[in-house]
This record gives sequence, C-alpha cells and structure tokens, in this order.
Amino acid sequence: MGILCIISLISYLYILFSEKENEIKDKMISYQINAIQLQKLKIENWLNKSCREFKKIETCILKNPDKSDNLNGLLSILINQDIRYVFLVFQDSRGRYRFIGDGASEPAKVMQKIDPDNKQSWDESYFSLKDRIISSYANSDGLWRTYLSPFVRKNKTRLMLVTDFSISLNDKIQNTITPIKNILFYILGITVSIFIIGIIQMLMYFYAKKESYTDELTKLWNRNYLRKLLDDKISYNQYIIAMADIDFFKKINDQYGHDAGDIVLKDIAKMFRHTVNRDDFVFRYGGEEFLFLLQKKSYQQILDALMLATQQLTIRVTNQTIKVTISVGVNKDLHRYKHFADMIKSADIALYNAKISGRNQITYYSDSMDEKSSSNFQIVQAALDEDRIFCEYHKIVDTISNQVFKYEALVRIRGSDGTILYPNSFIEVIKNTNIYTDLTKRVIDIVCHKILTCPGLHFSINLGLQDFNNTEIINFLLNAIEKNSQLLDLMSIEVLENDKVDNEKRCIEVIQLLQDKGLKIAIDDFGSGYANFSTLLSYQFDIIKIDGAIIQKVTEYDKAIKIVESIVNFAKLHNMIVICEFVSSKEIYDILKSIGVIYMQGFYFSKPSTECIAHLDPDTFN
Amino acid sequence: MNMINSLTNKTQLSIYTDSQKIKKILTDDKVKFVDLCINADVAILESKLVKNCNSVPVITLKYKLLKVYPNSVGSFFWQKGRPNIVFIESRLNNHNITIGSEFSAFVEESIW
Repeated sequence: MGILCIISLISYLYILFSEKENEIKDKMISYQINAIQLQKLKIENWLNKSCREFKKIETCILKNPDKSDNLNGLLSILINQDIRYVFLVFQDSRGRYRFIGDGASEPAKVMQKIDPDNKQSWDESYFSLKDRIISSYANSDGLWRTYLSPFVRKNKTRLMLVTDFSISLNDKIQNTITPIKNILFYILGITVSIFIIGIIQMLMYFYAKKESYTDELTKLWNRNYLRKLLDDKISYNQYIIAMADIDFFKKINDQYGHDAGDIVLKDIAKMFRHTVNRDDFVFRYGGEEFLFLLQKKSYQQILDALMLATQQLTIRVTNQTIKVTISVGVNKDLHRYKHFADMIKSADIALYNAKISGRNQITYYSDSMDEKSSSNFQIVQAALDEDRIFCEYHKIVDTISNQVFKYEALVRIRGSDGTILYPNSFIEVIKNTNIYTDLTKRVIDIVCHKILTCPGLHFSINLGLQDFNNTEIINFLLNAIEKNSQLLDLMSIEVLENDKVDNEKRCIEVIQLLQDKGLKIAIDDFGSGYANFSTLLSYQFDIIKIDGAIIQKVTEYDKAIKIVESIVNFAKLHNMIVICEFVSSKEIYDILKSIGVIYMQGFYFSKPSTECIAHLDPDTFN
Repeated sequence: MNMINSLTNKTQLSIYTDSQKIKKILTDDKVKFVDLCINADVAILESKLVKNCNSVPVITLKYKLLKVYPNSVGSFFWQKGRPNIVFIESRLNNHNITIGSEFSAFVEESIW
C-alpha cells in the first residue's frame, strides 16, 4: 500500500513537471518581455519626440541616418545571450514588412524588405494590435520563440517590434527541468520495479506454498496440507473421514507399467476432485491411498457418487482401457476421538475390512471389528521395519542316500511379544500390496544369506505364480543371482499356484528366463486346484511337489496310491523330479517308497526349524 | 530551382557559381555547371570577386551584392534567420526576363 502511494506521488510530480514545463518556459519569457516592454516604451517615446515633424516614421528614419543610428542603438540594448534578434518593422501598402530599425551589429538597411517565416501570425498581431509570442520556424538558425509587439497609435499599428528568442533560453530551462524530471523518472522506475518484484515474489511465495501443499502427480492436497488443517484446528464434528484405496493397484503397475499406473492415479484423483463438494477435502495420503474429509451433512451422497463414478470411469492407456475399483473405509464418529491419528486408524481398520470382505465396497468402522487381524498390515510393516522376519527350514529328504536333498524356506514373523506368526495369518491380507513385495524380497534376501552361511546346502523359496508378474520381485531375484552365481545351483523356486493368474504368457516367459539361467522351478501342491496336468501343458517345471492332501490319503485309498504312482511315472518320462510332502508317518513313507518315490518331506523326518544340517538324524527312520 | 527556371525558358541550364553549397544543392539533371561565367545562362554569386560576369544575369547570395553586380537581377539570402527573396524589377527588364506570377510578391522597385 505504501509503495502504491509513493508511486502515485512520484507519478503525480512527474506529470506535474511535464505539464508545468511550458508554463515555466513562458514564465521565463515573461521576465524577458517585461524588460522588452520597458525598452519598447523608451523607443516609442523617443520616436514620438524625434519624428514629431514627420507624418511617417519611416520617412523620418530614412532621411535621417543619425536618427537611424540612435534607433538601432536603442534596439541593440535588448540583445543578450537569450535574445538573438531585435528589429522594428512596418507594413507597406503592398503588405510587405520592411525594416525601420535593427539592433544587430550589422543592421539591415532601412526600408529593406523582410519575408516573415510566419506571415499570417505577423499579420494577426499587426492588425489585432495585440502582442503575441509565436514559435519560430527558423529554428535551424537557433531561434525558438518570436515576440511580436505592435506600436499602437490612434487605434492603428504604426510599427511592430520583433524580438527573436534564442534556443539557448529554451535549453537553459530544459537543463534545469530535465534533470529533475529524470530524477523523478528514475525514482519512479525504481519504485515500480521494486513493486513489480514484490508482486512477483508474493506470487512465487503463494505458488510455492500451494505447490508444497499439493501432490505433484495428482494435484490433490498432500499430507502437508492435512497437517496445516490440523494446526488450524479444523472442526472435526462437521466431518467424517473416509480412507479409499485402489484395488489391485500393484497388478496394474506390473501389468501395464508404472507410467500407466501414474495415469490411473491422475484420472482417479481428477474424478475424486470433481465428485466431492467444494467444502470437502481430498488428500493423496499414500501411494494409491486417499483420505477424504467429507462434510457430515452430505457424506453418504458423496460416497455413493464416488463408488458410482469409479465404476463408470474408463482410463485410457495407450491403446488399452483400464477399469478400476476402490475399497473405502469410513469413520463417521470423529467426536469420539481425541487425536486425529486415532480417527484415521479407525478408518484404516474399516478399509482393511472392506479389503478382506472382497474389495469394491464401503465399510463403516464399528467397535466389533477384529482389531487384531485388521492391524496385520501394521504388524507386517512393523516386523519389516524392526527386522523380525525370519525363516524356518523344512527338510526334503533323499530316501536313497538318506541325506537332505534340500530345505524349503518358510517365512515367519516374530511378534513383538515373542510369539511366532505363520503365513496363513497375514499372507492373504497383504497380497498385491507393496508390503507383500517387501516381505518377499526380504525372504529372498534371508535365503541368499543362508546359502552363504550353510555351504553346500540347497534351499527353495516359495513364490506365487502371480509373483512372476511382479517386476520388482523378479528383478530383485535376478540381481541376487547376478551377485552370486552359486545361487543357481543351491536355490530353487517352488511355485504356489492356487489362484488364476493374470497375464499367464508373461509368467511363462519369466519362468523360462529363470530356467535358462539355470534355476530349478518346482510346482507345489500338484494335483489340487489349478496345479494339475493341464498346467504342465503351459509350463516346463523341473520338480513336481505332490499335494499333501493326496499323500495323506495313500493309507486310506488305493486310488490315492495310483494317482501318486501315475504322477511319478509321468515325471520319470519327462525327466522331472517328484517330491511328496506331508509325509507324517512310517506307513506313508513305506507306501511311497514302494511306488518309487525318492524325495519326501514331512513331520516323519523333522519339523521346520531355523537350523540346517546336511545329514539326517540317525533316528530319523525309527 | 523553380526560381532559377523562371529566369529562362531553356530546358538545359548552364550555371556558373562560386558557391560550393549551391553546387551541392542544385543536382537537377537540367543543370550543368560551367567553369566560365561568360558561358553560363545564369550566375549565382556569393562573393564580389567574380570577373567577366557582366553579361550574364546574376543572382546574388547576399543583399548588398545587388549593388556590387549591376547585372544582378535578384538575391536569395538569409536575414534574421529567415530565407528572403528579392528581384529587382528594372534589372529583370534589362535582361528581358519575365518571372512567374508566384514570385511577383518578391519584386522590388529599388535596392535599399
């Protein structure tokens, strides 16, 4: 505001000076004119006295050279550095102007004609009997203004005094005014520049502030803005919290690439922005997670609109279209909580329940929700963060050599209270999430390390078939192999195929790639679910692990024995190794041995443990 | 140029001048500068030292040279920072020169 006042003031002064410039010039001339008028009066008096006897002054002067000299002398007094020419003229009968007197050092001849540069103005002054100041056209000769002053007698002009002001007078005035104007101009320029810089900085500040509150990809508010709202003490009673998560987002990234994933996030975010009300807030809370603060009076309507809009949303990625669903967890009783973090936690629990209940739905938090199971995300994440992930190793035995063929690595979590968590309590929940990927990478890492510390022993890692579509996991595995090539001989992969897989073609290619490098791939739980003979049409496995459900039945059903036998014979024909798991008794062991099964795994031999030894306990077969 | 043209009916003018400025100004194709005044149709003079110029009509570049050159018919000169033109009627008649009506306002009966 202050700067605007200064700019206004300086602008006013500048304009004032510019406008007053001519006034100042006229004022300077008027001082000169006062002197000219005084001298003109003297000349007039002298003429009246000296040429009293003559009818015409021109005759008086023409016939009396001394009077002409006197007159010229009187005129020459007026000449100074500012007045260039002073002369007296009269107009003859033909309208021409002729000299009567001249103040110059070499005066013009009396009666000599002079052609005015501006005859019209001269005539106007002459006949109007009025003094005039006119601009001179003769400025090539350094003339600036001409002062015309008629000598009037009996209402008629007898003579006219012509005074030419030199341009030096104008220059003098300019030289005084111009520096002042320049100073004002520079000050104005500097002030305006400061003002503009200030405006730009202010805009940049607001832009940067907005950028710091905005997620770069989706242009939604980010956590910084959420923190700001909390600091500004938003009134929670007016809102509900909803946590939304894009279902199977990891798959989208793996299948279509991360660029496609970004497009999905952007399009979804745009849809969210357009669906909520102006007084609602949408934040990008995590990778594919969004937090909504919706007004209590309209949240139901908005949530329904969000689900519908998501269903209708078609996302175009190069030549393909992607459809997505979201799961939403809602906490609508914020007044019950003291801390915002707790409000979010409850919404998160509701979100988790939406996920495990099948996804693509809205779930409202209630106290009856199983907090323990709903916090498994946090448990696994905490275990990863606190390095409480470990493996137990289950022997697979070579029943001919009575040596350990290899160990199967089984993931465990050591709880913060010392209890052991098994995969069936957390794996399904975290599937297709980043936590699952992190956990799988950790297991690969643990097994690679185990191989180094237990030289000569072979270990297998369990991967789901879908994991072969997970670029991050496969790249991690390939990097590990590249760093330590002995892994190819001492590590194998057991593929768990209990779900239909997306992009089977890619899975086949990746498995082939690993096999080409030298890695052995086994199919687990063969004979049940998707893992059956038809699978072998697509994949070239090195090892078949027969499903424990079939093995356990060999003591009850001949058919089970026949099935196992046929698998063993098939495997022999195709150079595949067969492993039977869930061998829990000597009876099962004997039956399997009789039909040619060499490699077996089960509690009959040992339970999983963290220890690994190459040989079997001598009492193993007792 | 129009003023000079008005002094003669010739389509090609031979001019003698002692003024370098005039030579620079008059660049018309009709004008040819000659080295001897006697060979010129018109002489334009700014000094009083030119001889053998008595038969040629002269335009002076100073008013007072009208008295120096009896065969001068007119003068173009600066006076009080203003351009001035003067033709002397009797001298025009001596040379049988009739100037255009647009210059009649500049014709004087005598030299002052």
